[in-house]
Amino acid sequence: MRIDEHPILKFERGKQIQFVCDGKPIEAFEGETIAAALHAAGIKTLSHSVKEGRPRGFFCAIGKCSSCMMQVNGVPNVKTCMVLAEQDMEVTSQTGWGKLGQVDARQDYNRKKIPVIETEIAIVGAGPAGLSAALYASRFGAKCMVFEENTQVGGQLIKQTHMFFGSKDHHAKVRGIDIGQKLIDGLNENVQVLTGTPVVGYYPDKELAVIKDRRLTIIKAEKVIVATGASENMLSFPNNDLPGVYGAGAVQTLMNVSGILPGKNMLMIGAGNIGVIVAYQLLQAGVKVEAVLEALPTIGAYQVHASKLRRCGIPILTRHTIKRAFGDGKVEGATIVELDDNWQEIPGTERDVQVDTICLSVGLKPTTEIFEMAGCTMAVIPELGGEIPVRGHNMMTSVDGVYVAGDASSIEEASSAMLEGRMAGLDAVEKLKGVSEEISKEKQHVKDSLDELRAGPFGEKIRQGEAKLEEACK
Amino acid sequence: MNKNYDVIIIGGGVIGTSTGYYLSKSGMKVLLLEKDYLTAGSTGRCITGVRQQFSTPATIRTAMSAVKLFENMKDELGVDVEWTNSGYMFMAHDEAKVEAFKKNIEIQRKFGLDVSFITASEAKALVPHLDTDQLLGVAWCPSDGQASPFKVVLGYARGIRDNGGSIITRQEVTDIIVEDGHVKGVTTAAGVTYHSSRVINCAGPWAREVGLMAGIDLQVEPERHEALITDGVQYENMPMLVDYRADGGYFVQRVTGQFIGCFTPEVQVPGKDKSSTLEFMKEMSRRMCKIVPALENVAILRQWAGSYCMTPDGSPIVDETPVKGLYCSVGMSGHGFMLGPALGKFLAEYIVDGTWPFDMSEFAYGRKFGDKEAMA
Repeated sequence: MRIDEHPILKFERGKQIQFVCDGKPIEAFEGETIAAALHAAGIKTLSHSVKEGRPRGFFCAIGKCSSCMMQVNGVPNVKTCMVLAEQDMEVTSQTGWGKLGQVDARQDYNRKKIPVIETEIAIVGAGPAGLSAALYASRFGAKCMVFEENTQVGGQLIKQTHMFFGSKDHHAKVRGIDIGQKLIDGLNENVQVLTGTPVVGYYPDKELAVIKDRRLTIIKAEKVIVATGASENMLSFPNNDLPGVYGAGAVQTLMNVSGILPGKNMLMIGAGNIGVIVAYQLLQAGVKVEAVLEALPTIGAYQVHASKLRRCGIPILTRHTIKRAFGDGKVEGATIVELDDNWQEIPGTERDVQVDTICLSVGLKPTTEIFEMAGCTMAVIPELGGEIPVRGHNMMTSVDGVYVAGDASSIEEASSAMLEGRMAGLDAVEKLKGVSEEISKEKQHVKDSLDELRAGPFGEKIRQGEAKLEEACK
Repeated sequence: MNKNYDVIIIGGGVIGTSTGYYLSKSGMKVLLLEKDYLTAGSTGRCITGVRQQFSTPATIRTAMSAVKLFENMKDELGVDVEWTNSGYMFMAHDEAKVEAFKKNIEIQRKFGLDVSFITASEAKALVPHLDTDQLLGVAWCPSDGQASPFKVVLGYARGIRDNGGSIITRQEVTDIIVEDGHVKGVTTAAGVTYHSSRVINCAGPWAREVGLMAGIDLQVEPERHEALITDGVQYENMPMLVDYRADGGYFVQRVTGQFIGCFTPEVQVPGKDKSSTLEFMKEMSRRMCKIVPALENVAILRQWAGSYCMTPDGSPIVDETPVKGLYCSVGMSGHGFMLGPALGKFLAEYIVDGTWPFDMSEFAYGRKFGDKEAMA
């Protein structure tokens, strides 16, 4: 179902087009992904699993979970959440793997050249961290290329309709969607941003393997800034793979980017900031939120967000979790249960709620494959989200000239991601173009600003994590 | 704790676990020591192919025995090892290859192998996705196949434990104890000594270092080989396609859907380096598309490298060494997974009752190294 009216967002849809899915015509708009268009048409089952043939819908909507893979124009295993719908496209659902299609004509593979592009700074990911890195590195004269695997730039900012906190430097009182646009508008001619262009490999001497226009391209860079973000955690319970179980980020993408409702009524698991904010956004979009469950005895979200929900009469049930989902081929409800002090289910407290959507907001995990390929020293620091590359205050990893920024470095907020990106960009350009007073001043400012952001009770966990990271650096 | 064993095996790949399995089955008290985890060496890095198309009597017969063991492995070990008779096709693009393959086929048939030289169009009928440009024909053996190296090792390891044997991983052997020309046991990095009058070197790429611990200098050298695997597509029963041209390669579709393959580098890379190169990824994808153009639309999932343990003639060394009680099953030269089950069984039988199933002098410790194996 498409959202027509929204209190904050206005959906400017592109030209109406039509494609074919399993023989049926599907209406879509230019600029929306295949998966989004199928959702709007009420199709939530996108594939069936390889081993058990179970129905699958997408979980993440940003190309990380692989359960939206379909055959598109003969090409198998296309992640339909990352590919835009086109007029007359032929989409087929897959049971397990796709089929090895035919190619029209034999090509002279010996003569096929693999393009090589050189740049000063290659930035992986066009979210808040990556864009900030590009913004500041380019301002001081570095040529930057930013590679984004999704169809839009801005990362998770493009779905954040809430206002940010902090000081002016942290974009306080500005909505996430507008911050993203501000970053994009600020980029100068030194920056080239490529969407739909995933980086699939890191090789010695800062060579990146990139898929551009569905073909391998090699990028040779002098510095590499990796801002790959994070993926959403899954929670284990029976039937957690049913279509209708989404990550909170996926729900935001559907709702706030594509203007499509994920369902009619829903259950949110996790009362951290993301869970509570997304539950409120669902309410704004017209979805009935049955309850927000939190296994901890306390609500993790800022009180201002939680209060907004409670004022609307949405129960936030602490010491509660989901026991199972149920439904025939799709989510039709969930059994929830109370937990005791030792996280054990209290028998007899089970009850069923009738919902068509279950949203999981149970934490994020840094996306770190590129660091592993680059041979960066890694450390496991639970306070920062798990396994992350070891890095200094300048955001450089143990591999010279390879930087990290944003959620890939530690699970925090967009505000800190932007500052980390800025720091990485500044350090990279300083090493390329030479030390200047202006850059040094900027770096000091960013460092102070990050400290300020992490001050106070909410920053305590991050401060503990940072301390462990300092230890790991020694 | 009693640290006396009937036999100690060094190495937890297919060679070590199969040998250990058959020894434990015959009633021996087996200890297997692995310095990393099971399959961490060459076995877990191989491309899963099992062929019988070799060119010397002992290799052909060993490989044929191995295929029989693979066929029955599910019953023998209680683990479905994904054995599938998907076959091997050796592609001939010039007359010299045609002749060489036909000559090999003649030898292979003497031992009862069902193998034949078929035309390019016959090959195309079997593999519709095959590009037959300049292809003169293929050597085709439908009973060759593939299996999962991880499941095979898992099955053998379980068997060892079920038969009362012990497997200790992350336990590196640092010394072999020899007294008066007889092996007495091993010492590990943890400082533990295990006693036995029989020790078997199944250390793959580390075989030379292990041999030297007992003063035995094996003529083996590790060599780096790279491999990659693609995303899966629906299984089409494609055989291992082997293109031995200078710009060729070999790959097979796993029964689980992915294409897995590698090529032999023009210049050999000695050593145990396991890093991956961009050059291999670019080159291998190009070579695979040349043979099966439809692969153009399939994504690469991952790439890695592993070590072949090479002997000068490309045949393994499976024998007792001059140190009494010290055996070796090493130098697989890229064929460890396919020959492993049979070599494990043969060596176990030799240790238990002193006989080989047929003339194994091709694999003897003291042999003179001459010609390279034609289909290495």
